[in-house]
Amino acid sequence: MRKFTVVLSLLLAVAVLIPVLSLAAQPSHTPHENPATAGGSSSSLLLLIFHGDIYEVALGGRYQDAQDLLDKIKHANISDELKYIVDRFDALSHELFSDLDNLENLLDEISVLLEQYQMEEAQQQLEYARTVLENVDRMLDDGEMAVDAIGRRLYIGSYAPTSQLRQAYDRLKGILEQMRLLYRDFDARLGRLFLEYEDRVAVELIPTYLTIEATPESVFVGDSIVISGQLSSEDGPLADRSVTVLFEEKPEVVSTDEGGSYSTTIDIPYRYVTSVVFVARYTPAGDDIGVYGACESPRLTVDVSYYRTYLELSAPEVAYPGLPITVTGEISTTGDSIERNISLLLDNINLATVQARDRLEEELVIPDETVTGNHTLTASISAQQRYAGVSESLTIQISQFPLQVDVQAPSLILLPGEVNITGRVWHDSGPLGDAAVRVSFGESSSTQVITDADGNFEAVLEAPLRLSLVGPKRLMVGVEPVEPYYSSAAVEKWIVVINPVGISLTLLAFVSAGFVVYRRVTKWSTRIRAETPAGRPDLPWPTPLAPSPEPESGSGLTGIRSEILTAYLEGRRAIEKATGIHIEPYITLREFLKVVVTNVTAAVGQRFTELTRMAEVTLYSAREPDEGMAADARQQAADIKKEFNRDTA
Amino acid sequence: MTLRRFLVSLAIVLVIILAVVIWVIPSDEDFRVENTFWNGASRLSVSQAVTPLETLADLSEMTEGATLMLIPYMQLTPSELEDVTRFVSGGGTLVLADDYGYGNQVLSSLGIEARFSGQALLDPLFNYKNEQLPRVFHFSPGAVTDGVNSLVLNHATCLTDVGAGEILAMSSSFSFIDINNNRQWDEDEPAGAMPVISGHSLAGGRVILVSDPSIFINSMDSLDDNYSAIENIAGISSSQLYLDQSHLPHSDLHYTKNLLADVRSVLTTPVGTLALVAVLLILILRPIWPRKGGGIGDQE
Repeated sequence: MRKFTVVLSLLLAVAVLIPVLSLAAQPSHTPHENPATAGGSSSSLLLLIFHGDIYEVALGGRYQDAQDLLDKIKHANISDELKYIVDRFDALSHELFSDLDNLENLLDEISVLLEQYQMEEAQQQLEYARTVLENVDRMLDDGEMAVDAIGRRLYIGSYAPTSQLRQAYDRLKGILEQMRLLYRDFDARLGRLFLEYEDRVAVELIPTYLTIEATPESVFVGDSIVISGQLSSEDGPLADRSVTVLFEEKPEVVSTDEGGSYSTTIDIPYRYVTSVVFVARYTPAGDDIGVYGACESPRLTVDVSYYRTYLELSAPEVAYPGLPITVTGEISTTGDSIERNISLLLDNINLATVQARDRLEEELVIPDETVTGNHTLTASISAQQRYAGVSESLTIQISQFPLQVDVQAPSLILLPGEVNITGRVWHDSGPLGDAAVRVSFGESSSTQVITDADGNFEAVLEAPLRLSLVGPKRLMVGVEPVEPYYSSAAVEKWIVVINPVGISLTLLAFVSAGFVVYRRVTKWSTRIRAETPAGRPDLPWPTPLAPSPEPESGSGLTGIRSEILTAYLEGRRAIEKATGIHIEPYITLREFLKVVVTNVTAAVGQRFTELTRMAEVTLYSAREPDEGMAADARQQAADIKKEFNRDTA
Repeated sequence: MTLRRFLVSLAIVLVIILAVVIWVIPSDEDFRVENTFWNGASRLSVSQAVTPLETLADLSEMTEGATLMLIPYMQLTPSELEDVTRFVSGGGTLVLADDYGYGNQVLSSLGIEARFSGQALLDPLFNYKNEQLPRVFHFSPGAVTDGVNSLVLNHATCLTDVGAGEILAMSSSFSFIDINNNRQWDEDEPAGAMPVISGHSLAGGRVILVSDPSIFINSMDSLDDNYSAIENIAGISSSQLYLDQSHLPHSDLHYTKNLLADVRSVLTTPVGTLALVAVLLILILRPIWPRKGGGIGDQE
């Protein structure tokens, strides 16, 4: 026992120490925390510093960079109390930087327009710039107020001027004041441009005129076209002036000759559109500034021709991986028939490139790895000089031939043993050879076999002893064909497995256990009988919990005690006989009294209560009962019997 | 029944109850695919069809086109390092995700100069909730970062000695390395944008370093574009995606579950089954076994 206690104590000690050892082996840092329950913290200092940096970038005129930096703010962790104001401030800043960038460009553009005496455009842009500048002014006001609000939320006044937070805040305020100076610069510049506009608009310019024409009037793609015209004023043609011909937003500058005429040759690109637009523009330069007005020619539209290509594509509706299909197509054009390059694609993957003139006929092999389902087959004829390209698509269904599998397996097997499985694999047109058949039985037993030329296969699986006694077990047969155009197949069967060894051993265990239990019960009953005194015919069971008083049974009670208990038993028997209620082994004298007292007359009840009290005193009290009590008990018992006899009579 | 017999019976009953409880109780270990809690990788295994590996020795069977995710929280043996090197040189892609583990041991073995810093990367401004969950939004174009605009890391570290052309993702300019773990920037602590993901070509294969394996846990994949990054990493594999579980942090629960699994596998063999039945029979029949100098035994 002592050894056992020592071993148990040692085991307990090891069990207590093992977690400590494993804790010591953990990484030095926590690998992660649950983001859902992670505590929040944000840095107001860095937020102010970052905004100061952004405004400093803007102050340097790098408005786009400043906007890019503002976009990063969305990744910042901002406390809830600042979030709304900061979000609004950032949206405002975004708009402000955009407007300042716009204003910068506008003022530059207005300067150029005024220089070129394009007064109408200049006036429009000046008005627009004034609106933008007013917007900037409003946004600067709002921005300053937003920064003040952020300061109040951070209780910035309570920080010492030397604290990092206060310095970051003061820096941002300072940069905003500089932004205000920048606004005033823009305002002054715009004012100067307005004055310049007023000065220039007072000057009377000589109007100019520009014509434009094309030779030939219509062209094929890839051909050249001559664009010509004349620049003139009220005084006659303007020689040696620069005229800009605009074609697809690409300017080409040409000079006018002595007659004010200009001419340039332009190549029409291989863009298969039906028309293109040309326009010529004159902007006064040099000595012409302040003398002649700018002008623009009417828009000239030139028709463009090309040969259209048509393709009628056809292919089988269903195709199979690894098997070829024939794709056909009829090619026609509005020009002469020529050799064309055609790409054939399946879901944008090029399968083949072929050449054809009027008819396409090509055998395509669908890739092995193509998954079943709908796919897009496309034939694309590339553009070729005057011939436009064309692309046609069809939806084809990639499918696989289904396989049939027949499996023969026993419906019942005994463990341990072997499971013989035979079967056949075939498709609509015949047996399938060389297919891999994977057979698995339960969780651990599996094998793979190959079908013969007739599609037959045979597999033998070991079924070793297991813990289970009896029950169904799943047999899975999966077939993987070599050819990609056949689908995989699987068959499931259930086999009842009986484990005779297990059943025998279990039965033996149960029988043994039953035998042990039977012996125990028998032995226990025998012992109880041996310990229980004889002569208690009136009580069906021994009463270990509530010993019923049996003075005749040799319980050791003699003399007066025995007489009292005998009287109690007589009285009780009379009650039991009369009421049909019998005392049980587990019922105490007082519990029995409570049960019967409601089933007898008040007089009998009173007497039996007194009798029960005397029996309890006799059985459990240390006080020795006297002869008087014995006589009283006999009297009570006699009275009870008499009461019942009278009732019977 | 004697006290000794009572204690032995009690111990056996307790062991059986504990074994059942341990067998049934779900795993809560970090990064494991069986763990459905916040720190497990069950969602990764479902969404990306990850195959867990219980030993790196299985790598010899699959290489070309395969991707191995390795989270080395335990040291690798020389033979395991050889397995990893063979895997990469055979055309496999190794995603080495580490923060405070043994990633540098693998990098040394592979001959890659880059290293995991092993110190906490904090970002007090750009973060999710707190500085230990930094947000990353500077990316270089690449297969891993395609469609990813923002990543949230969780108690990450950073990479060092990474070539400029190898960097795939960097932390923000406000991040810093918290050397003394006081969660505040100090004068001598490195600050600024630091590499957190990098890609390295190596002898036919590829190695991707991720300075925080926690992006793969269940509670992180829904944050920002973490899921897209995980999808991209899984998409590298043209054949199979593996997650090594043999070098993850092990708990006592894991050891005990493995032990129970071993016991179960032994018991389900014919010999084990017979031995179990024999032991049970001996225990049951012992009370009625004839004893020396007496009849059928009675322990009372």
